[in-house]
Amino acid sequence: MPRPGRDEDERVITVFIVDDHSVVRTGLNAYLGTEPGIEVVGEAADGREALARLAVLAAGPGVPDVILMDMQMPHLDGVEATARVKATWPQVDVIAVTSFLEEARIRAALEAGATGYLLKDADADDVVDAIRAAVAGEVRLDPVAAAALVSGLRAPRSPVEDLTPREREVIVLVASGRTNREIGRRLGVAERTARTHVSNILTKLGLASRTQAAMWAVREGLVDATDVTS
Amino acid sequence: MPTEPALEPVPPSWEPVERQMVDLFFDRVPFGLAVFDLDGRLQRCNRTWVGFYELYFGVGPDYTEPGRYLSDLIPGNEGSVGDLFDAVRTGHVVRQAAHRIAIPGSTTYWDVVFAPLYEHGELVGVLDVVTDATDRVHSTERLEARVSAFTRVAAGMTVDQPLVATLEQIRSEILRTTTAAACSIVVWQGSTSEAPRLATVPDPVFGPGYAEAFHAMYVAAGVDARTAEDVEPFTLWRGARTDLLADPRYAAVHPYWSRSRPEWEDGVVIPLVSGREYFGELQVHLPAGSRFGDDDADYLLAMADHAALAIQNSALFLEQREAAGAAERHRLARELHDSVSQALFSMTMHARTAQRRLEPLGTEADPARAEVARLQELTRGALAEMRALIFELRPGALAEEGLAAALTKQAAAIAAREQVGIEVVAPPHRLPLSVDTEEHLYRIALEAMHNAVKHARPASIEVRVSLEDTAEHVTLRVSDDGTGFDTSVEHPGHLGLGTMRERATGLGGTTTIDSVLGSGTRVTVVVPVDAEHPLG
Repeated sequence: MPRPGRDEDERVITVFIVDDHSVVRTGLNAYLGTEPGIEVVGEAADGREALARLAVLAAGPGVPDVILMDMQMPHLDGVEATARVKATWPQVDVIAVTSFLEEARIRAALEAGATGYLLKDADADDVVDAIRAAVAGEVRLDPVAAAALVSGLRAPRSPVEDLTPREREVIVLVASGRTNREIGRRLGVAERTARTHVSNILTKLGLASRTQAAMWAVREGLVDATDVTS
Repeated sequence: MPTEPALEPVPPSWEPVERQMVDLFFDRVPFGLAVFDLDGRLQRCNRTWVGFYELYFGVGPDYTEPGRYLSDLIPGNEGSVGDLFDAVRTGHVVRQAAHRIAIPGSTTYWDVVFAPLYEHGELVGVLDVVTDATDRVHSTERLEARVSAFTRVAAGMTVDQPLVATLEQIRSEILRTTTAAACSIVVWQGSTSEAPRLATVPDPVFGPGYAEAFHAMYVAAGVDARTAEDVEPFTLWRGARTDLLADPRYAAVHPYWSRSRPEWEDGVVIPLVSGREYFGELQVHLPAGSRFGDDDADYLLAMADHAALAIQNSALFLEQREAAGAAERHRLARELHDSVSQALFSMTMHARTAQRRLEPLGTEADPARAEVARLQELTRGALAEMRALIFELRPGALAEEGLAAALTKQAAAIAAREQVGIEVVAPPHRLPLSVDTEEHLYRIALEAMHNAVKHARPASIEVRVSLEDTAEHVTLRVSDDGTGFDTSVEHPGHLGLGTMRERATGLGGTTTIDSVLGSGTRVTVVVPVDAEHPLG
């Protein structure tokens, strides 16, 4: 999977950092500050503070594109905070940032609507890649993790038959890590149309994110786990 | 205990009835009667009195002939008897319960009455009336000894005493307070703890080598799977020795049980149980035909209860200590994660930031760039180390994440530390292995990796875990491209290879070590999959 070129994203991606370790927030802030096209628009030390600050942003300049959300936090943990963010601002992509001590939380975060996840021993460049992939609508799951995650996924409200043939085509492409633009190109439709298909699929299946849709497709046998890109 | 009545003919008599009564009374009462003169010379005694001497001293009737001095009859006891005599000489009846008479080879106890005999108002002799109190005193002593044995065993259990020490104490108390010739205890399960833990406390009286033979016999026998309901709570086994020496299951200890010492023929077997659990046995060897009463049975049952309780306590104590250790490790892992690893993650970000800031500068920044690159590398290595360390500290981490994840973490840490490339190749799905087997394979692989980087200076190592096509075996292979070694030569001090082999053998598997000088080493371990962990 090639990295999305800078030219695809003329618009600056806004990022919000939630982590109870100030040392982590400082590090991420410093690094993302050197990355062209990405702007950190705020940070919070726990889920409760994050929701309060996001509400302020929503009333003013607008909510960020991406939230880097630590999972283990006091007051309101990352899983619950993710669920509330997605419920209020479904357009926001949440990336679950988990330490290697709590990999079990990845599934909980994805179920709560997180688009993707990042382990805290990731390289700096992986952080930027994850942010750009989330904004591009790319589902990035490690094949092994995907298989494990899918087996425990909650049952969706609707069966496969509820999807139109076109929607099935779209969900397979989502699961193989295609962006809306790529899906549009592949199906010969506009990017906006592809995006509409995806959001219709999410509504029909009662899912909160493209990532959940991808895992659903794997579980329903529409795609093989090893076809899910990493 | 009722016995057959003893019959003895009495010839017709022409004596006056009163005279007959006195004679009959004197001769036939069940207490000993003897008359001494004031100097302590025996004048006359009855049959019971003679019988006592025969019973305890093993002497004939001539020993108690009239004319002998009391001090000669019971040599060494003049002092205590003399005091009683002196009291009688002043005109008193003296009663003494459980008077101790000790002569070499025999200690006896007597309820004694000494009374003055008068003739025409003159003191002329001493009447001695004795009844045997030896049994009574012995059983009281035994009871006291047993009560104090209980107290000591119970006291031992309250201190932090190892289980085997408590069992050893119970064993020796039984020997001290019963007629047992030998006593052994075997425990094949730590009660509430799940892992079978064999503990044997064999009697050293059977001589050197017995302990090992006894233990080996139970290792071979395995855990007795019966429950408390399946076993007799108490067995007195007359002729046990003969039966056991004919039983091939006990062949390992036959050489010891067939010896003439200790002398034993009968046995008592008491299962150690708690609730429904049956986890051990108390074995008492008794001399042939030993008197074994209800009191003895009750005593041994009580001792067995103590042993069972000690075993349970010990199991609970171990469990609690293990739980405490696990909690402590978990806390440590959590703290390391909260402090060090968060800081390390931040450091990778800052290092990358510094690298970015140096980008627009010219070649004059090259030394700084090199430093930052080194810093990045070190941070990455430290993160990998931390990840591996936390994995090791976290209880149940291996069970939770599986062998492949565990090996990948450790490989990353070793790779970063030792500057060697390590590739871990494993199937994406969990292998059909028990937690125990995974743990052993994990340790074997770690040992092999450590050996490689320590002795072989390889450029790369490959760790490959694979399921055989037949799905009956799992193969772990650790290969390196290092210096290799001569496998035909002993490598003293390199215990690692032996430990790896032991682990593999314990899993019912095999270990093969191929090494060619100059072109690397390959350690291959093949273990059977666990039947109770089907594929998937």
